[in-house]
Amino acid sequence: MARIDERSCSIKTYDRKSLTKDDENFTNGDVRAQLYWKRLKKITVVWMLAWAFPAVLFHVPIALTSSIKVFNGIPLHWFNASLLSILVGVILIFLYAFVMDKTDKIPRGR
Amino acid sequence: MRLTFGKISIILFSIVYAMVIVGLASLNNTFLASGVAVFGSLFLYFFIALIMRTRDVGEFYVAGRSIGAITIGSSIASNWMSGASFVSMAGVIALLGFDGLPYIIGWTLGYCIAAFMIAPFIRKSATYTVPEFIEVRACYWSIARLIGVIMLFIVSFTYLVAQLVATGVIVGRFLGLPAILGAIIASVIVVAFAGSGGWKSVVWVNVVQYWILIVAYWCAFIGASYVAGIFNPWPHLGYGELMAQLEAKETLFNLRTFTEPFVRVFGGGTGQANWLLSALCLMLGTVGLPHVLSQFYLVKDVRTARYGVGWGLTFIALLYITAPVYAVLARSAFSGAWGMPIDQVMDLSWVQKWLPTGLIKVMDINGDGLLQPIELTFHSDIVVVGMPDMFGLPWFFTTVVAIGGLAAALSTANGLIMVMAVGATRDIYKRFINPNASEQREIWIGRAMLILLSVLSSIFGAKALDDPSFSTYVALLVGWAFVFAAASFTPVIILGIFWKDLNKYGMVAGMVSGIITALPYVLGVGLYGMPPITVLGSKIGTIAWGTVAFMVNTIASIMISLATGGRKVTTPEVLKFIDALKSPE
Repeated sequence: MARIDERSCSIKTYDRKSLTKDDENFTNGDVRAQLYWKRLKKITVVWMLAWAFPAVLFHVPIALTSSIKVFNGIPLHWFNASLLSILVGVILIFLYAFVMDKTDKIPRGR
Repeated sequence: MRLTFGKISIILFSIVYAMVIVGLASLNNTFLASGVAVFGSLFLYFFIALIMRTRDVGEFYVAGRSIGAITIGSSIASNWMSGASFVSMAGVIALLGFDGLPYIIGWTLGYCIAAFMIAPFIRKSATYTVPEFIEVRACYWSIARLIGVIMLFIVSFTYLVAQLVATGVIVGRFLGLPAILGAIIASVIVVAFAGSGGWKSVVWVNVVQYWILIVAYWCAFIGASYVAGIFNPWPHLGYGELMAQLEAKETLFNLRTFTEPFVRVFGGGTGQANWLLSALCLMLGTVGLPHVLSQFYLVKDVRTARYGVGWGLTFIALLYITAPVYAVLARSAFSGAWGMPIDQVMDLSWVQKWLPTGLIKVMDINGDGLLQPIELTFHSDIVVVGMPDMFGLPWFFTTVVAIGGLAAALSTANGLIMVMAVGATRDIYKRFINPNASEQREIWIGRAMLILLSVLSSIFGAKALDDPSFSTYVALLVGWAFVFAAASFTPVIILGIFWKDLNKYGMVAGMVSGIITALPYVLGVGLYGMPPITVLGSKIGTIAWGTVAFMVNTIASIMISLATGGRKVTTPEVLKFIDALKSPE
C-alpha cells in the first residue's frame, strides 16, 4: 500500500484493497500504476461531466436564458455562448492540471 | 538574457524596420509605410526561423521535445487561429447573430477534450505522428497507418490551400497587389521557416506570430470600443447598452433581432438540435485535426502538455471572446446608417473607402431614397478589416490589422505544412519506402516534401483565387475537415487510450464507417442540394452530421472489437504500450 506525505497533498492514500477483480490488470503487474489509472479514470469522468455544462447544458434552456439580461442589456444566452462557456472551459483545464499534479506526486509505495 | 549574434540581429532589424516605417509615415507616404510594415513582418519571422534552425532529426520532427507550457500555448493558439478566424469569424457572427455562436464554443471547448482525454497521453506515447500512434495501437497494422496518413493529407492540404487563399486576399485587399502574389509569397516564406529548423523553428515563429496577431486584433478592437463608449468598465462586459440600442433599432425596422436564437441557417441546417450538434462536431473535430494533435508531441513532459493546453485555450480565448463584441460593434455601425438618406450614406467615409472593394453594397431597392436595412449588405471580411474605418481610427490601425491577419494565416500554414512534411517523411518515406534512411537523409527528404507541398498548394491556391466556385469548394472543405476529423480520428484515439479492448479490426472498421457515414451526406447536402434530415424539428446541417458520424465510428469500433475478440487479438507488446500511456511518469 502506498504511503502518503500529508504535507504534499491532501489526497488520501492509495488503497490496495480498493482494487477489485473488475479493475484493469496491468500487464506488468504494477499495482501503483493500476491504482493511479483508477483514480485518473474517476477524475476524467468528473471533468468530462463538468465540461458538459459549458459545452451543452448551458445552451439547452434557451427560452429561459434568452429572456434574462445581464450587464445592462446582454441576453444571457448570448453571454453564455460568447463568453461564460469559454471562461469555464479555461478554468476546468487549469484545475485539471492542478489536480493531476497532486495525483502524480503521490509517492511510490511498496 | 544572453546576447547572441542572432538576438542582436533581430533587435537591430526591428529598430531599422520601425524607423523606416515611421520615416515613411511622417513623409505622409502611408501606402509605402504600410507596405514596408506588412512585408517587413515577413522578414522578421524568417530571421527568427533561421536563428532557431537545426540539423538534428529530433529537433526537426518534434522540436527536441523541449517546449515549455506558455510557449506551446502560444504556438497552439497561433496554429489554431487561421487567417479566416482572424478576418472572417467576427463577420460570420455579424451575419448570423446567435446562430453563428457554435463557431465560438465549438472552436474553443474542443481543447477541454484535448486536455482531459488526449494531450497528456499522446505526449506519453513518445510516438512522432498521429498516424504512427494509430498504427502502434493497431498492432503495427500498416492499413491503419495508411488510412491515417490519407486522412491527414486530405484534411491538412485543403486547410493549407485555404490559408494561402486567405493570405492572397489580405495582400490583395490591403495593398492592392494581385492576390496570387500574396499566395505565392506565403508559400515560399512558410517553406523557408519550416525548412530551416523543422518544428523547432516553426514553434518559435508561431509564438511571435501569436503575440503579433493578438495585439493587432485587440488594437483595432480597443480603439473602436473606446470610440463606441463601451468601456463600462470593460468592452467584453460593457456593450449591453449598445446591444439594447441595436435591438431597439432592429425592432423598429421590423427585423428579427440579432440575438434571436435558431432562426438562421448554420451549415445548411436550422433549429436547436442543429446548433447543439454542430457545436459538438466542431469540438470533437478539433481534437482530431492532425495539426492540433501534433503540437502535443513537442513539449517537455506530460505535465507540460496539460498546462500547455490550458495556456493554449487562454490565448485562443483572447480572440474568441472578442469576436462576438466585434460583431456587435460592426452591426451597430451599420445600423447607424439605417433610415439615412442614401446620398448621406454614400458620404460616410468608411462607405466611400470600402464600397469600391465590393465588401459592402448599397442599393435603393424600393426607390424611396432612404437606406433600409436590407439595402446595405456586407461580406463577412469587412467586420475586422473595416472596423478601424467604421469608427474613424487613424490609418495605421488598418495596417496593424493586416499584419495580424498575415501572422494568423502564416502561423496556421506553418503548422499544416510541417504536419504534412513530417507525415510524408516518417509515415510514408521512412515507413514504406526506405526504413533504413539515415537521419540526415530524413531531414533532406523532409525539406524536399516541404517544397513539393508548397508548390502544389500554391497551384491550388492560385486556382481558388481565380475561380470563385473553386474557392467555395475550398471554404466548404475546411468546414468539412472538422466533420472528417470527428468521424475518423477522434473516436479511435480516445477509445485507443481509454479502452483496452479496442483492437486493430475495430479501429479500421471505425475509421472507415465514420468516413462512409460522413462523406455522402456532406457531399449530398453541401454540394448537390439534397434536403437535410429533420430531427426534433431541426434540420440537421452538414456540420451537425459530423456528430452522427462520430457516433457511428464509436459504435462500429466497439462492436467490431468485441466481435473479433477484443484485447486477445492485441499483442503483449502493444498492451504494454497502452499501459505505459496510463501510468504515471
